[in-house]
Amino acid sequence: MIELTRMELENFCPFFGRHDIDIGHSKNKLVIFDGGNGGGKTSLLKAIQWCLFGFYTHKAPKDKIEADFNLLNKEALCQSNMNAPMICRVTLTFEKNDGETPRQKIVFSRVMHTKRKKPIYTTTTGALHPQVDGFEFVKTEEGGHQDFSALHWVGSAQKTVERKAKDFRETYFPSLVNDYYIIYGEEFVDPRNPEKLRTAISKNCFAETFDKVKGNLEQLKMEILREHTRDKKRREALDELIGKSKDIAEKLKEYRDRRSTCETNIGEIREGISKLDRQIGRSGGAQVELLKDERAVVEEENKNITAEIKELEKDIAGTGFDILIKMLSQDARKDLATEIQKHVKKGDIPPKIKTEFINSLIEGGRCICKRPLSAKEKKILKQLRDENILGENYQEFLDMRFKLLDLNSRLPQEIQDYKSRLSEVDEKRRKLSSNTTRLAQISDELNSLKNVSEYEQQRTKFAKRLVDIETDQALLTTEISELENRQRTIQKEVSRIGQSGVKYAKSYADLDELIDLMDKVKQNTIDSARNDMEKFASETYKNLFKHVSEIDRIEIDSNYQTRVVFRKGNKEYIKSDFSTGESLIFAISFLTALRTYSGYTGPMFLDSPFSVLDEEHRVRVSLNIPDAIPGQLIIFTRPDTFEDMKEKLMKRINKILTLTKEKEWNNKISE
Amino acid sequence: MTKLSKQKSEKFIERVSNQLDEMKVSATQKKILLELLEMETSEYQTTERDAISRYKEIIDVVGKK
Repeated sequence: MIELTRMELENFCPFFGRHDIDIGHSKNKLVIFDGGNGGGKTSLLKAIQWCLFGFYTHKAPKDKIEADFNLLNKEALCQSNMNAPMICRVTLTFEKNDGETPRQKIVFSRVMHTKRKKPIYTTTTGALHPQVDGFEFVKTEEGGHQDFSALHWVGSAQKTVERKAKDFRETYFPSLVNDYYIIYGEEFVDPRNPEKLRTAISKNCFAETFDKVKGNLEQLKMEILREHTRDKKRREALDELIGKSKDIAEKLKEYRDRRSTCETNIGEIREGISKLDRQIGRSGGAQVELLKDERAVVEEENKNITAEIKELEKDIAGTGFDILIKMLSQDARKDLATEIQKHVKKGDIPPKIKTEFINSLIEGGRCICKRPLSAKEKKILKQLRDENILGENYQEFLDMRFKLLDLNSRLPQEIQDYKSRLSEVDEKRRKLSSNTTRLAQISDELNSLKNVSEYEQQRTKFAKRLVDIETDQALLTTEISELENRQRTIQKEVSRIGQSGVKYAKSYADLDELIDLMDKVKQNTIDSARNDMEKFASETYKNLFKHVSEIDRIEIDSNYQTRVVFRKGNKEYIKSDFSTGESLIFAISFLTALRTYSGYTGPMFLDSPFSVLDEEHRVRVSLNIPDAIPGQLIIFTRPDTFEDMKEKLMKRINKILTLTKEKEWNNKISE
Repeated sequence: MTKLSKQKSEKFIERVSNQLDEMKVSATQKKILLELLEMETSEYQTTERDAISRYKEIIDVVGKK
């Protein structure tokens, strides 16, 4: 992870003179720059962009001199003269936090000197450059700057997405939607998951509250009956029943509370699990799974290839010698075959056996059967020996096979078969070698994803706890159902005894009606909530999922306005029913998802992201953004919007820096 | 009670109120039911006995209006 820890500005935009901003580092990753209109928020962002990339627009400006002139502090420019040239400078200090101490510091600096009114560009070495490209490193590590290039990480995200094109619909897009809902703070329920839907509805509709009220009304009804019963015996019977009923009611209350606690815990644990899943995903959990799967496939493939090569080599072992024998002498081939084959069949011809054998043939001038060798045969043998065609070992022999085989044209079919089987072995060896290289790469990639196992361990613990609590919840539900049955029996009995005695007061005559009503309204409320949730979810799916196969690109402008562009054949069409606020959240989610997939570890800067949101959404989004975006998050915001969120965000903030405009071209930065 | 759970309770009561309107129940019944539900979702926790007395009180007060 890379954090911005210090900024130094000198005569940059509205900041006259020198300003040192010490951000430092803390476990809290949120940094707020709070300033009103003209406070210098966007200028600070420009300073960062200019220092890192040489320009502050999304691409290099056409007229760089004019663009850079706009960055100069005009107060300082007025005060500068031939003898005292003005310096405009931005220095950024980043620190690499990868758990190692001391932290590695990376410093970037960009400077402009001016003489008279026209800026002249210089590098730190003093050489004149009309256009300054690239960075001027005061001190850096090789390649370090790449971590900061927005183009680099967006580029690598695109690459990743392209590479995972097959997984796009299944993995990448749902993750974008997931981030969207996390940031939005909406409870998103996938209508394809009935269990989740049921839990969410039950939680949102206070199903237990209806049961509680109904139970209490039943209790009240019994007490009224008892109150109006004059007969002593009946009153005694009722007292006993009501006593039992009260005990059951207390127990029911306790069990329902416990079940409700279980539900809350289950919700929290599920939230924890999904948070860990997100962290695992961000740390490359999905990638780990993919890599592990790939490793298993490659290892299995290698195992098969090795066995096949072994089988093929065993099969063709000696074939080359057989051909040689045939080629040397028709008469002697059986003797030679017997002699050599016993070594060849073992798969390991002892070194030098072939050359020694050939030498003995040449020196003796005879073959094994003592027949004198012809001049042609001697010539071939010498050639074989001198050119070391047979090699010194079995592998070398295999490599030299083609030379050997080309010497003889009398055995075309046999040679052809032999050649093709040898090239089959070659092909398999090449595959084996490329697989081995890939396995080494996978191993390196897996090592670099070391955090994942830690998250996975936590997730396993959470999952185990979830099972335990769900078991408790199921047991409590059984108990509650049993108690409710007993309660109903008692209530019937009370009703029977009471009603045969007196009629209870008229003011309570509608109690039964209220109890019935409670059941109906409970059912209707749950149905209406389900409809709303399903409608909400299905609209989301309609907007985002229905045409996902046709999504061509997502466009985000500098105001976070987002357009989802679809393509059907050659036709482009836009279908995004997002409100302004939704657009903004979608844009941030998309950037977050891109960031996740690119593996970018540097800070993320957001310029006034909350201004279009109403207070409720602002609070929710601001609370959720730090969770959704790992690493340092630097937000530039206005005081009126920040005020609503300040209290909630305090625990997550590393530093709040206030930007104020004291007078024209003289803004201040304070803690 | 957190602001969020307070908001949730309010939303819930509003939903129930709409349902009762749709079911065309009498104004008295609606008021009683909503007050009882509000009482149960509020921060104020009661024992079982207190709850029954409060129920009686609510029904008496609202019923007599």
